[in-house]
This record gives sequence, structure tokens and C-alpha cells, in this order.
Amino acid sequence: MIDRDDALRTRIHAALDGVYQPDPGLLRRAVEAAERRQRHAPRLRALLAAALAVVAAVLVVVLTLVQHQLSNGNHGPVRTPAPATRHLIYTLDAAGTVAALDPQTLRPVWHAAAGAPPSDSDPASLLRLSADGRTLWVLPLTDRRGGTTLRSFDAASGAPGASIPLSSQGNAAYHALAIDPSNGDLVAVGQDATRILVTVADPRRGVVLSTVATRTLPGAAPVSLDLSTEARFSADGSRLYYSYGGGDPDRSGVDWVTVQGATLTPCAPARPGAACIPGSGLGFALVGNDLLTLDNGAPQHLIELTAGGAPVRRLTTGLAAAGVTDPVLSGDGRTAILVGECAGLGGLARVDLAGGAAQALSTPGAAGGLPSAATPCGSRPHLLSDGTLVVARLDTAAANANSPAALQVIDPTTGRILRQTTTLAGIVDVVEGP
Amino acid sequence: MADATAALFLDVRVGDAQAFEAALAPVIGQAHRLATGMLRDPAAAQDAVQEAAIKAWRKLDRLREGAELGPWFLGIVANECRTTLRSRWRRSVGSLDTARLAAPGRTGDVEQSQDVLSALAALRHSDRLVVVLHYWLDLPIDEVAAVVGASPSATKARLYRAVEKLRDRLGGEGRW
Repeated sequence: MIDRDDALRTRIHAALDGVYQPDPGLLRRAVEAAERRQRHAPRLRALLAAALAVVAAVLVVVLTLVQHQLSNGNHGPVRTPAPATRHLIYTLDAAGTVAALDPQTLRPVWHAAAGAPPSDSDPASLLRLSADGRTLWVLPLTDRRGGTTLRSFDAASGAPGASIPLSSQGNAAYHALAIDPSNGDLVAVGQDATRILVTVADPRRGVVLSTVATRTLPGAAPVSLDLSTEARFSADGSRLYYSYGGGDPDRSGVDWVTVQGATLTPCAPARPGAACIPGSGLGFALVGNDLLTLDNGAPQHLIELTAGGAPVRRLTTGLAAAGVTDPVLSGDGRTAILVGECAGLGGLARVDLAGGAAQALSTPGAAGGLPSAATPCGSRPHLLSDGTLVVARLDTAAANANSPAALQVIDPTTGRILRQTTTLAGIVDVVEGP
Repeated sequence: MADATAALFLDVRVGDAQAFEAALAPVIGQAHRLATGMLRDPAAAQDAVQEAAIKAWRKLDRLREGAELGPWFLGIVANECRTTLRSRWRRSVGSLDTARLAAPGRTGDVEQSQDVLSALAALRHSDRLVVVLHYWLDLPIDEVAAVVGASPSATKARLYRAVEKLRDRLGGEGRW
């Protein structure tokens, strides 16, 4: 065995010795290579990490696209879906509570105290959502004439955010809020002792950019309860429209302000102290370049005006005996939806804006009493994203901090109340978002 | 000796190239021969040893305290040879022509060397490794066991099986 082992060893030596080529420089080269690699190792590791990060990112994108493709059933182009958003109804009540409600259950998702309001408050546009739907801006009322500070809340959680004092003047109070669609600036409409004020604030920096007195009110003091109810920007963001009115018909109507950045240029009324578009000073809607509002006549009419205030047409409301404060446009913009005030008999009607025909889906209640529970009525109607209508039902002339009220969701095609919830205080504004 | 080796390794671990060269010097020749025996390609063998040196420096902290560098480094070289053989490049190019590498001499010697190289090439990597370590590097069984990471008895059994296969390929006992 030993002999055989030696023989094998000899043959292997003979074969491999012929292949082996001694290399005296191998050690030096090997050590230098090792040293070089060691010196560059951190850089190589960084490059490797960067490459891995890029590969991981590409994989994530590819897998996401594949997942989207699969979820699309391999039909059609791959679309990146918008992040899941939860629609909520936001309310501000006369007790100064801002709340987010589930649209289906009308149960609160969150609620927070926004201020200490007076016992009675007048419904107005006091809630606005930022363009990205993340921030709810609130103009809490501090007295019947309005509020002085804007407050923000996280729209999803209700966590309080920044506050913006609107005026250092002691007698200024604001009663309507809008957001400039072109830049996200907040615009509040209010008044002091003798003037209507429009103030622009930058929500990003939390500061007031400018304030302009748009109209000087003749007389020693404004008529009690003359207020701004609605403030809306035109579709192109170039004009802010606001309503003002209540006690004095000669002052009531709609004004506009041309907005160029922080520069505000008020419209010029036909006579000093009057509105540029005389009218009821109630709520209004914008239909293209036209304005849709309601007059103070009896019976009340829906009136359409050009952007400059020239009358276009006068339509019946279908709710002859009722008082309507805020017209709402249907989703396609072809129909005006009108809800009567509860104190003015209520009811719900649709007005075809093309043909002018009005159809009462729910007739007002009998004179001398409040509408029945089955009759829609209220203020601040708002068309929800699912096509239903939400309305703040107030059984008193103004929203009261201590009087229970209700929020109703109505089918605007039938006038049927779909669901409602009782609130501890009257609702002064309703919006939906994001 | 153990203390001196430990100090040497400490120097190497902190990046002393001279210390690493000193530690590698006693084993570099064996490593080169091992790589040549496994790959039968001088250039590939040099590359394998060089790559093994790089890995050895990087992995030096894994060498157990008191362990010898020689068997550990030969193990790295053996793994590097296996990697080289497995690589697509090696498979596509193939091993160097054994006839060209055969030692010059009588025709019969060349033929016998070619037979041995072919028989070695036909062995599995693990079998060829123990044969090369024991019969060409002349390492005793326990040192072969240290390189391949097996017990001496297992290594001996593997070597026995490898030799049997080699003999079969070389034409049986009659030719020894």
C-alpha cells in the first residue's frame, strides 16, 4: 500500500510539477492587491450601498406598477391611484365646536373647541378646507358681528394648528371666509364701525398680507345684524365675491374685489354705500361667469346676474311661501337646488337653469308652525360628493348655542330626508372634504 | 510562536501591509501550488491566490485566536478555486490544454502526465482537493483535514475514495 501510495505521489508530482510555474512576485502582488482593495473598501461599500438603494427603489417602482397592473386586471393603462382619502363632513356650531362627521353615519370622527361664541350666531361661510384637503380653516365667531382670528385644524385628526389674528383694530369683526384658489391665501370679509373690510392672510406664514376697506357705510354706524354671509372666488381666482346685508336693503347685495396677489381692488358701486350688485345680501352661487342669488321679494325669486351685476333673468323658486337663503348648484351645474329656511316653512325645489322651470319636491309646511320632521329645511346647504345634500336644520331664526338642532342628509332628486343627526347647538356652517 | 503570531495578526488587523506580507510569505508558495493543482492554469492560479489574499485580509478577524494562518489561507484558496471553476468564464473557456502544460521529456512521460492531469480533472472538486493537498503539497492527513474543515478520519476516508476513483481512471492497479 505504501509502495502504491508513493507511486501515485510520484506520478502526481510529475504531472503537476510540469504545470506549476513559480511566481516570485506573487506574494508582493497579492499583498498590494489586498491593501489596495482594503483602502478602497469604504468607497466600494458606499457605491455598493448606493447601487443597492437604486435597485431597491427600482424594484419598489416595478412591483408597484406590476401590482397596479394586476389590480387593473391587465386592462388599460397603468394608473397610479390617488391615496385613499376619507370624505368627512365638517361643521361649526353656535357653541364654537368644530366637528368632523362620517358622512354615512353622521357620527363625529373628531371634534374640537374653536372659540367662545355669542349665544346666537348667524350661519355663514365660516369653514374652508385648504386646496390639499389637509387643513380646515375656521373663522370662529366671538360676537354676533363676527370673529377676529382664523384658526386651523388638521382635517383628518382635528389637531389644532396655527392661528392668524386678522386685525389689530378693536372693532373689526369678520363673518365670511374664502380661500384664493390661485395661491391658497385666506380671505376674510368683515366690517368695522363704518366700513366693510376684506383682509388677505398667508396661511403658510400665518400673517396678514393686506386689508382693504371695500365700502364705506354711510351713517354713524352699520345697521344691526348687517353681515357678510357668503364669500366665494370666481373660477379663475381673479375675483372675490361676497354678500353683505340683512337689516338695511339699501346696503344689501353682493360686491366683488379684484385680487392680484395681495393687491385688492374693490368694485365701484353705483351710489356711495350701496352694493355693487344690489340685492338681498344672502347666499349666492357662481354659474360660469354669472351669479345666482335670491331677492327679497314676496314671492322670492332666483335671479341670475352677469359678473358685473347686470340682470340676466328672474326665475321662480317653486317655494313661493318659503324663505331661501342659499342656492346650491347640482353637480352638472344645470340645476339650482333650493332649500327653504325652517323659520320660513322649509321645502325643497329644483330649478332647471336652462329652461327656467321650477319643481317643488317637498312643499313647504303650513304657515304658523315649523316644517314637519319629514320636510327638508335649513341653512348652509352643501352638495356632498355622493350627490346628496346636507343641510343644517335650525328651528330658530339664528343658530343658538344652547338649542338642539339637526344636520340632515337629503336626496336632492326626491326631497327625501335620508338620515339626520341631532346636534346640541345650531350649525352655522357645513363643508365636506377633502 | 503563538504570541508572535497573535502580535502579527494584530498588526495586520490594523492595516499593516508589511505584517500581512510577513504572515503570508510562508504559505504563499503552497497556496500557489494548490491553486495550480486545482485549476491547472498558471494565470488562473495566480488570480485565485491574489483574490484569496484580498479575502484573507478582509476576513482576518474571523481567524480564531491561536489558529494557524496556513491551513486557513489554503482553505480560502481552495474556495476561490472552486468559485473560479464554477464561473461562467471558466466553463466557457475550459481548462488549459493539459498537453501543452505537460513537462517536457520523453513521450511516454508526457502521455503519463496527461493521463494524470485528465484523471485529476475528472475528479470532483472536494476529491481533487484532498488528493492535491496530500499527494502534491505533501501535507499530512491532519493538515489536509484542517484545510478542508473535516475530521482527520473523514478526510482519510475521502482521500481513500478519491484515490480509488483516480486509479480507476488511470487504468487500475496494474499501471502503478
